[in-house]
Amino acid sequence: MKARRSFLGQVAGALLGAALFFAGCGTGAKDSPSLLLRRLEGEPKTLNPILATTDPELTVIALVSRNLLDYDSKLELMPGLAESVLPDAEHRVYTIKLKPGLRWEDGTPIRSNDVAFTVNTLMDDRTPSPNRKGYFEGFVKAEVVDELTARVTFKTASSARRDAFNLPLIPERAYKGTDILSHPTNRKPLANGPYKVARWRAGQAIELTRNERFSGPRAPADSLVFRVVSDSASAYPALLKGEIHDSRLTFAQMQDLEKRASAEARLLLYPELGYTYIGWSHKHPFFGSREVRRAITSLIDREAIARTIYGGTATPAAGPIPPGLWFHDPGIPPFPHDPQEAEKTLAAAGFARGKDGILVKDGRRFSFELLMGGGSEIQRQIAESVQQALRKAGIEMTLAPMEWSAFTTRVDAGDFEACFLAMSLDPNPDFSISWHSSQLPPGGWNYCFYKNPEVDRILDRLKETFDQAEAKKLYSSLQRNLNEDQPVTFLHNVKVKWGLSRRVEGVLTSPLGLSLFWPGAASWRPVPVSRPVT
Amino acid sequence: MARSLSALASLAGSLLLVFVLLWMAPGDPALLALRSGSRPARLDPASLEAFRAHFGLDRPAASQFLLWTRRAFTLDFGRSIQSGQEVRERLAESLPITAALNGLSLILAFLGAITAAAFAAGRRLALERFLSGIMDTLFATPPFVSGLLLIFVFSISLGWTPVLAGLDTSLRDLLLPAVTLALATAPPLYRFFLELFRDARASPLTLAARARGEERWALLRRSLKRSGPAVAALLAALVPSCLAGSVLVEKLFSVGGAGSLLADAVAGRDYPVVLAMTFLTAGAVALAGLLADGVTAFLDPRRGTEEE
Repeated sequence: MKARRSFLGQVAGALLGAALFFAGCGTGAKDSPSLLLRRLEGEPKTLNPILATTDPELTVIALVSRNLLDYDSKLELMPGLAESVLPDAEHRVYTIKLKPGLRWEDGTPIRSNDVAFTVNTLMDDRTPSPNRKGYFEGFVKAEVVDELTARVTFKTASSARRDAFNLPLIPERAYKGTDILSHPTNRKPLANGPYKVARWRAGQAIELTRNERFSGPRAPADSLVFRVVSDSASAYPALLKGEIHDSRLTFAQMQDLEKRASAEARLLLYPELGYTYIGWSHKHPFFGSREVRRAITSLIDREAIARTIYGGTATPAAGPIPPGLWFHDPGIPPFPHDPQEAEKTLAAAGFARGKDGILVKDGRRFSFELLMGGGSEIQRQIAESVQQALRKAGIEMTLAPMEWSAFTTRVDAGDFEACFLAMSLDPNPDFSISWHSSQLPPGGWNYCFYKNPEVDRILDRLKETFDQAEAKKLYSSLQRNLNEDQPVTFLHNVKVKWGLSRRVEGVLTSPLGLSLFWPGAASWRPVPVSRPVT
Repeated sequence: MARSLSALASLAGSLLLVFVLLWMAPGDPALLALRSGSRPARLDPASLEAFRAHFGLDRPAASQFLLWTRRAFTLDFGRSIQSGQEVRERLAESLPITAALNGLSLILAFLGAITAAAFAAGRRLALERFLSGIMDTLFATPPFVSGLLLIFVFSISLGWTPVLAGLDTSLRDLLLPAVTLALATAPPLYRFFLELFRDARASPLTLAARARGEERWALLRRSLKRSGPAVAALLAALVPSCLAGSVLVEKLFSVGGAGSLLADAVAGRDYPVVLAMTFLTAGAVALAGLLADGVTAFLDPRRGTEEE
């Protein structure tokens, strides 16, 4: 009996010790007044501003590097590091005048040789920079004119070049004559923005501190920590506990946050510059037909999906130009939902129901596979809803969810019948990448193999059009053509659901989100702990 | 000697298998490294070729594998295709974190399993069934789910622990992820120790000892000591499953260890990183096996003789 008591005593002691240990861990995240804690959805691969491509990379870089020209919150270009970027009358030679007195974080001045070096490096074959190089098509040379002036020359004029100089700089002194892909500065970039990188804890966090040499408005926080939290399941509780100050939310998390009336976090909704869609391969014997594609879109009740699955945070898309872009034409309505008309169209096109209820034409059943990548819950629900709508009309669609890398590989190669995708756009997107018949895979992004001479003509003319009113007319015509043609089924323009700590003030939004414009997150201010949050 | 050779063979086999699987999986490492999310982008063929050449991706697969393997034996694992960083450097940052996490989780799992088994063995059947039921439930619960539950109980409801692992990755910072991993590892250990303690209780040695008036704890200690070789073998067998569990748990708690590094590298088909991790994991497993043999021979010299 004695032995038993002493053993139980030891166990109880151990458990009590463990409980106290747990209790001692309850440090939570008590913010110091000048600390911001942001979430990154993935680990950046690089912080070299001209190599960066992913959202986590661009989000960090937006606070560390300013661009020659920055977007403001309305997507207008405004002076950044450059005082001005002026094209000559033929739009072939651009003169870049830097603001005087700018410095890198180590105190060395930012000069025009950095501009010329950045552009020349960018255009070097050894520099893979897929999202920037396109703007510099027709590049001839970049050169220094004087200490603060650089000049970039192109072979031809192109209006797509408007945004080329939304360009960050890399310091010539650090990179000259080195291998840009593996340079250590890629992990500890020299800042010229409001914050600088203090420490990168791989896989965990990137810690920024205020860059005291920044010539613009002083950064509101002494330091800003980006936590890498790739799992949204733990990001949300971390937001509720104040361990991070912002996070993208899933639909379920948004609903929970609305119900919870949290003292810690609030909801922020803003329209994303993009759209979701189902891409149809025009190599498929049925999807090459405009009538068939239009009928399929008519079968899908996108209003109902927006209402029920998105809970009202999406609207049906009227073509590829979302409302956030200045040239969006609100006069073009989304393609209508009309299942009866669609069935008539399919019958007129020669489809008849087979024994199993599936449509058949020329001996071929109307059955195909929808590739899906990654697989969010909402995407699965939409795909199932589309599947049911098509099944009613006698079209069999099987869902093929895949791992993301495998999915993108097949999509990029145009190796699919149908695929479910979301498209994010730049402020001045080059639509010819996706819709011009010269951009077929391999290499091009027109992976649906869409060909329409009228659309090609509009896209070509857009490149030569510098007059905004004229361009707006062309864009409207492009939007109308694509909306009528339904080369893909344009599904929705979706609002981004963001959870934001009540301990942060000064948050601005733009069609590009919270970060990729000026001042972006540089205006975020931590609320002092002494002040109650509102 | 034979044991070392077989360890080396299994290391080479694992590397080859992983490389072949990665190579066969759809996805071009260069395109995956350069793709810009869902934004349309035009990658010029010249840049793509230069990128491939830079990382040796333009060579035939066999030559890529042999070159990498030859270098790996001098502990040069090449550069990550995704980040351009030295793989060795990246592993030096992440492996200690994963080692600490798994070390802590194994200690917790052993303590928990031994305590529960000692508690259950030879008590009323109801208590044993209750504890075994809990262990079975834990065993059936994926670490990701138990991790989320722990977050909701300890971080949100009780407010005792932070959701995300602390940045200094001290043992205290790693407690919740370590407990999550331990919950998955403890049940098989519990079963093992329960059987051990039951057998021990039933053995005539124990009866004699009890007759001599020895305490229960001393009896347990003795049976634990006797089971040393089996425990060592069990521990060696647990190493790979611990590392596998780390992948999800590290992602969940934002622990920047080798588990999350491996997950990202596999997604990006970043074969220098994946192979380096395989090299080290397979190495660790082989080493654990050799150590377990060593422990066995030390604790029970008869076995050593038998093998010879």
